[in-house]
Amino acid sequence: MCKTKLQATSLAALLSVLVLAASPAAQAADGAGMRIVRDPVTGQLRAPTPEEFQAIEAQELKAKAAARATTAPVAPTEVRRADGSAKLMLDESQMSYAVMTRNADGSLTEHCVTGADAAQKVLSGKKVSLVKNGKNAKEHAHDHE
Amino acid sequence: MTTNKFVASKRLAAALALSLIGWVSGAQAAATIAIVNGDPAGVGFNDATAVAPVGGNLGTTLGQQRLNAFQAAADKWGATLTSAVPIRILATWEALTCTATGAVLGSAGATEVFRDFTGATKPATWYSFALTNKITGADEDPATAQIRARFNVNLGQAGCLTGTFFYLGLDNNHGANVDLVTVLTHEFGHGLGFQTFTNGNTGAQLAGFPSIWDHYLLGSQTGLLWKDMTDAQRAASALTGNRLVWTGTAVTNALPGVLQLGTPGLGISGPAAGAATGDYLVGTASFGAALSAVPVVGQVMPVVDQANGTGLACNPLSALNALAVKNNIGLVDRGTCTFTVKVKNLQDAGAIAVLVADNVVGSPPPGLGGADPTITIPAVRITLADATTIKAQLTHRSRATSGVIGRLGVNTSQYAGADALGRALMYAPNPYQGGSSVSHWDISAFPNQLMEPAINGDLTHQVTLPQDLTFPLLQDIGW
Repeated sequence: MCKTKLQATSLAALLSVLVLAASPAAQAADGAGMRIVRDPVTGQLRAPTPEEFQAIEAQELKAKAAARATTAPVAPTEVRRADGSAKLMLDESQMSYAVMTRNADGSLTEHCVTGADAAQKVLSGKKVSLVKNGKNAKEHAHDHE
Repeated sequence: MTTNKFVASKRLAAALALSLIGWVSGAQAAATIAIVNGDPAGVGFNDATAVAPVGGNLGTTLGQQRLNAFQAAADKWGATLTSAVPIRILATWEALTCTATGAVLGSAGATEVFRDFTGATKPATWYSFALTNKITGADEDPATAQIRARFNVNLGQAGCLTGTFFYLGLDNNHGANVDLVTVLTHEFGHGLGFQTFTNGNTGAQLAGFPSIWDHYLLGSQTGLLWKDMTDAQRAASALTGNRLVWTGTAVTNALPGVLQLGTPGLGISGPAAGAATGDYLVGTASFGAALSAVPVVGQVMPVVDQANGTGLACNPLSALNALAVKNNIGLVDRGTCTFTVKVKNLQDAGAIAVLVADNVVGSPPPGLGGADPTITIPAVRITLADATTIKAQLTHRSRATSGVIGRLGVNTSQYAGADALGRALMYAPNPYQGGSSVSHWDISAFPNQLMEPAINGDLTHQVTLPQDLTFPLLQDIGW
C-alpha cells in the first residue's frame, strides 16, 4: 500500500518517491514511512541513495516546518482515572534527543536536547555549542576572536 | 500525528511484551529493566550481519551487539534503582535525521506521566511513568512500555555523520566513535525521571501542573521554587546562569563527596566599584597562566582605541593605554583579532591580567581559545552584560587608576558545579538552550557528570556515588 509523497519538485521530476506503510517499528521517528524511490532509468522501486534520502528528508522537513507555522500546538490530553488520579501521554516534544555534530576542526560535540524541534535546530547549526569553562579547550580552540 | 505514533507504540509494546523481550537485566538487579525489541526482521536488533566481539560485547551479530549494549545501559540502572514493577523500554533502530556532519543519535523518554495516584509524595504533581509504578507498586498501564527509545540505524554511513559509528563495546574504549552505552545511560536517565515536564522556555506547566522536579528546583535570585513561580518567573529563572539550583537533600548531602573544590571567578570591589561590586563568572583561557587559589589583584583599567569607546587591542598599545594597564588588570573587547594577540599586547604593556569583554549576549562566558607560549599572564572572558556593568564604574577613572579592584582567581571554598551554599547548579544559560536548559546539571560541574547537557569523553559508565550525582537526584524525586 503506497502513496505518492512528493509532487512538483525538482526531485520528483526525476523520481517518484513512495512511502511504504511500514510497521511502526520501521517508521522513522518523525512519523514518515520507509522511503523508497522509483529508479528513473529502470523504473524499478529501490531504496534511495544517500543523496536522494537527504533530498527527500529536506523536503519533508520543509513541509513540516510550514505545517508547524500554520498549525496551533495541540494541548496534551489528560485522562482522568476512576481512583482520582490522572495520566497524560507524552509526545515527541518531551523526548530527550542525543544529537552529535562535527565541528570545523573535526572534533565532535554531543548535545542532549528535549524535543524533535530542538534536535533539528542543533543539526541546522542554530544552537550555541556547549563549552565547559576552562576544561574543554578542544571545543573552542577555533574560536579565536 | 504524535498521538497516533504513541498509540502505535502502545500496541506494539503490548504485542511484543511477551514474545520479543530481547533481554532482562540480571537477577541481582534491584529493579528489572527489559529491553523490548521492536524491530522487524533483519533490522536493528535483528540485523544478522556477522561481527567480531568488541570491548567485552560478545554478540556475534550486529543486532545482538546492539541489544547487548542496550541491556548494559539498562543493567546500570537496574542495579541502582529499586522497584517491584519491571520497567520496559520499547526500543527500535530507525532512520533518524542526519547530515554529513551531524546526526540525531537517538531519543528516549517517558511515554506517560501520572499525578495524584496513591502514594504520591506531592499532590497535583506529574511523575514519570516508571517512578509512578515504583511508588504504587503496580503497573499503571500494562499495555504501554514505560520508556520509548529510538536510535539511529544509519549512523556513520555516508551522509549520516559520515565515518563516525556507535561503539558497541561495553568497556568505554570508544576512541573516536560514539560510546553507545554512555548515550543510552544518559537518555534512559531522562526517561526514568531526570527532567522537568514544565516548558523552561515559556514557563508553562504540563497541563497546568508542576513536575516533581519543580518541587526541588530553586531560583536563588528570587528564593522561589519553580512550583511556586508564575510562568514568567520560571522563564526568567531558566536564564539566570548560576542562580538555578537543586535543593534536594540527597544531592546536597552527597555533593561534597563528588564535586571538586575550586571555582574560577572574578570578584569586583573597591571604593569606586559601586553597583558593580560582586562576583562574576569567567571563561578561562587555554593559554597564559592558569587561575589559582592565589588571586591576581589589581585595578581594572580599560583599553580605549576605537571611536566608540571600546578597545580591541589588536595593535601594540598607545602610550596612554599602556599607562592605563601597566601593573593593572586590563579590560579589552572581543573582536577583529585573536584573543592571544590582544592579551600579548597588554602583557607587553605591563598588564598583570586581562579581562576580555564578550561582544555578543550570552552566559556563562565561553573560554578563550588559542595558544601562545610567550603569554604568561592570566586572561578570562566575561559576559557582555557583566562588562557593561563594570565599565559603567570606570567612567571616572584617572589615567592610571580607577578605584575598581579586580580579584581574579579560584575560589577554593566553592565546589565546581555548585553555588556558594553548596547546592548543585542546574543548566540555565542565557539565551535559552532549547531542550538542554533546566533538565541537566550545569556544565561547570567537575568531575564531569553523566547528566550534563553534553556528554563528555571522560565519563565512566557510573551513575552512582562517588562518581556521579544522578542517583541522589533520582532519590530526591522519589526513587
